[in-house]
Amino acid sequence: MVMSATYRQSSKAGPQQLAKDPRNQWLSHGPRFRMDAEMVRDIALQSGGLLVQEIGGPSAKPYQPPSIWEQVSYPTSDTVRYVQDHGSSLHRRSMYTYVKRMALLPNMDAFDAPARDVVCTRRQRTDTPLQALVTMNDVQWVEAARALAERVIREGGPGHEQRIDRMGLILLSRVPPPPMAAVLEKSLGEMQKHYAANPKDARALVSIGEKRRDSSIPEPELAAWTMIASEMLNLDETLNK
Amino acid sequence: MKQHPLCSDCENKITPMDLPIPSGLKKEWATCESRRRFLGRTGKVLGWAALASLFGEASLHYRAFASGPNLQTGSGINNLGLPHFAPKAKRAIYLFMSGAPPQVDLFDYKPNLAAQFNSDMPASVRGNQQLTGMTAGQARFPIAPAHWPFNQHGHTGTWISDLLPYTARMVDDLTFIKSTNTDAINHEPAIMLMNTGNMNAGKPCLGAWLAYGLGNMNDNLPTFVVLQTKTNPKENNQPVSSRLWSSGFLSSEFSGIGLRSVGDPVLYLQDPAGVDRDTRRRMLDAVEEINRQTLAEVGDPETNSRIAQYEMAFRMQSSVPELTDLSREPESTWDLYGPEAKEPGTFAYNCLLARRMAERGVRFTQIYKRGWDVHDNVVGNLPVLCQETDRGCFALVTDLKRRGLLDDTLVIWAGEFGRTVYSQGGLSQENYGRDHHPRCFTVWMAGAGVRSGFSYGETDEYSYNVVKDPVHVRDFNATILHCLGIDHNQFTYKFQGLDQKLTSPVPAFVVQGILT
Repeated sequence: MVMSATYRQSSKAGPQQLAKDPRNQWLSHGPRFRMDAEMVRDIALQSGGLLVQEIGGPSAKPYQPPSIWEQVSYPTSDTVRYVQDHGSSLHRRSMYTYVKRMALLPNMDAFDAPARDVVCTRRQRTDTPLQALVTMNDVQWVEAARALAERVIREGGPGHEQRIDRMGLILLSRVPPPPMAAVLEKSLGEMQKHYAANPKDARALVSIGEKRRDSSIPEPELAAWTMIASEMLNLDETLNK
Repeated sequence: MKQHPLCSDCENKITPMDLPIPSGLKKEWATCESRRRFLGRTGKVLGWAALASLFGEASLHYRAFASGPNLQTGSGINNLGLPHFAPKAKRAIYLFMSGAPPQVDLFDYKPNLAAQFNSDMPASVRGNQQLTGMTAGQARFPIAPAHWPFNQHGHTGTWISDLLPYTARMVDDLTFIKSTNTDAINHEPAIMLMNTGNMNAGKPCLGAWLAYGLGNMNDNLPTFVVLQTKTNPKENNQPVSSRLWSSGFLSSEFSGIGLRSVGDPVLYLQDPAGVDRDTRRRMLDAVEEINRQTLAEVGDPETNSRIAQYEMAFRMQSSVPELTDLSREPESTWDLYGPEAKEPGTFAYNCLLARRMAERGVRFTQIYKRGWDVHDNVVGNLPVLCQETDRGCFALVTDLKRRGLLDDTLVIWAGEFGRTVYSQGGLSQENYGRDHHPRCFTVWMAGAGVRSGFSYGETDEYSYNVVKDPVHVRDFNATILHCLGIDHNQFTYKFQGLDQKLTSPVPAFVVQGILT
C-alpha cells in the first residue's frame, strides 16, 4: 500500500482540490499534519546529531523548567522534586522521557502529548502560541539549533549557499527553493552583522545547553547560524509531516 | 467538532466502504467486521482507529478554531449560539480552597455545640453516612465545637468566625451557600467533581467549558488562566494536577494556562540569553516570509493559523510581562492587599494578578490554595490558613468593586467538600482534628449575577446534614454557568455518544434563590 500512487502523492492541495475535497475525504492529496510532540522534539535533536540511538534502559529526565513537579505534588511523594539528568540522557528519544502523570513535561504537553490518565484513542493536533514559545525558547530547542548550526558549518562546506542547502536537506529532505533560500540568506546577513557587533550576546546564545559547543567556530558566526537553524526548526514545513 | 471522523460516534460517519481504497481491502474489512461484531463496540472502534492511522490524518481533517470564538465581535452571539441569554457576568474568578476548609469553624455558626464539647455525636445524625478510613475505626465521635468565637458583621448581621476579620468586613457583598453537598468523600474524586462535574478524569473543567463556549476578550492573553499559590510546607498539601484545568475531550487549546510565580510567568516565555527583542522580531519575520511561501505552495489553511500563532506568541512576550509588572500599582493597592502581595506566589499576589487579568479581559481565572486538609491540629493550622487567604479575598472583592468590575465579574470561593463536626483523633480543650465530610459545606460567591449580603441553605445543629435548600455540586456549577449567560442544559458537546455537559447527565438546577 505504501507504494500506491495514492499514498505517495504530494500533500500540495490546489484550489480545486480544496474546494471539492476540503477535508481530503477522497484522498485528493497526501496527508499533511503537525507532527506529534515526541516527533517534533526528536527531529530537532536528530537534525543536530544529538539524538541518542540507544534502545531501552531507564527513563530519562531531560531539561524541564523549575517548579513543575513541586507545584502539584503531595509533599511526601517520591516524585515531589524533579532532578534533571545530565549528559546523554538529555538527548534520548522522547519516548524514553520519564512521565509523571500529574505534571507532564511541559514541552510535550504543549504539543498535545497525552497525560496517560485516561485512554487516548486519538491525539489532538492543536496549534497554539505556547508551541511557538517552546520551539523558539526552550533550552532543548536552542541547544538543538546550535548543534544543527555546528553540523552544517562542519558538513556543508565553506559557502553560505551550501550550508543552507545542507540544512534544508537535513530538515526538509530537499534543497530550499530559491525564494526560501533568499530569505534565509538575507536573515543570515542580518544575524551575522548583529552578533559581530554584540559578541556578548553571541557568547550567551551559543553557551545555552549542557552540550559543549564547538569552540573552533567563532562565537558570532555560530550564533548567527544558530538563529538560522532556529528559524528552520520553526518552519511550518519542518513541523508538519 | 474534534471527534475522530472514523469513530463510530461521529456525526459524519464514513465507513471504509466509502473510501477510495482497493476493493480487496474492503472485502478484508467486511470479513473482520462480522467477527468484530462479536467483540463488541470497543473492538470496532479500535479497528477503525488502526485503519485510520494507515491512511494518515488527511482524510480525517477536522480543524479546530484557531482561537476561541470571540464574543466581542458581531452580534455578541458566537457560532455556538452563546451566550444563551444576556449574561450578568462576563468573566469569573474562582478561588479554590483545595483540601476542604472546615465550614463549622469558619461560616456555619452552631452556638449550641459549645455545651456539647466531647459528647458523642448522636448516631441518628450520622445516619448511614460512609466514613473515610481515617475515622471509620474510631471508637467515639466526640463533638468538637469551633475553637474560635463567632461575631455578627455588616448590616446583615452575618455570623463569621474571628479567624476571618477581613471576610467579616465584606459579608454584605457576599452570598453564602451553606448547603452545598457532594457525592465524593475523598480529595481526588471530589475535586474532580467540583471542577469537571465528574469524579473520573477525562472531562473538561469549568474554565475549559467557558473558554470553549465564550471565547476570549483579549487576543494577547490566554482565555483561562490558572494560578497556584506557593505551598506552606507545614500544611497538609493535597496534590492538585493538570487534570483539574484540563480541557478533557474539548480541544486542548481550551485548557487552563498556568501563570507561574517561579521562573517565566508563562512557560518558555522569555527569549533565550543573547536574543533581544529586535533579533526575535527579525527571526520571526524570516519565518513568516517562508511560511507564506509554504502557504502559497501547499495551500494548507493550517499554515495560516501557524503564522497567526507565532505572532500571538510574540505579543504574549510583551503582554504577559506587562500583566505581571506590578511596579505601577499605586500605594493604595498595597494598603489594600497588604505587603505580602508584593511577593510572587502568595495568595494575595495571585489575587492582585486576578484583578489585573479581569481588567485585561481574561475570561476565567482560577487560583488554587492548597493546605486546607486539617485532619489534625486544627488549632495550629487553621489560623495560618485563614491569615494566608483572608486579606487577599477581601482585597480582591473590594478592589473589583471600587473599579466597577464587580458589576460584570463573578467571584467564587469554594473547596471540594466540608469537614466533620466530630473530632478526628484525640479531642482536648486545646486541639482537635476534622475528617472529610461530603454532606454539607459552605461556599461563597460575590459580584455579577448573585445577591449580596445573603445566605442560602441551612444545615442541622451539628453542621452535618442539610435541612433546607440543598445545593449539589451540579446545581452549583449550573448556577455559575447561568451567571455567565449559559443554560447548562443547552451547552453540550457530543462525545462518546452522549451530549456531554458540565453538569453531567444527572438533572441539575440553577439555584434561583441566590440570583439577582
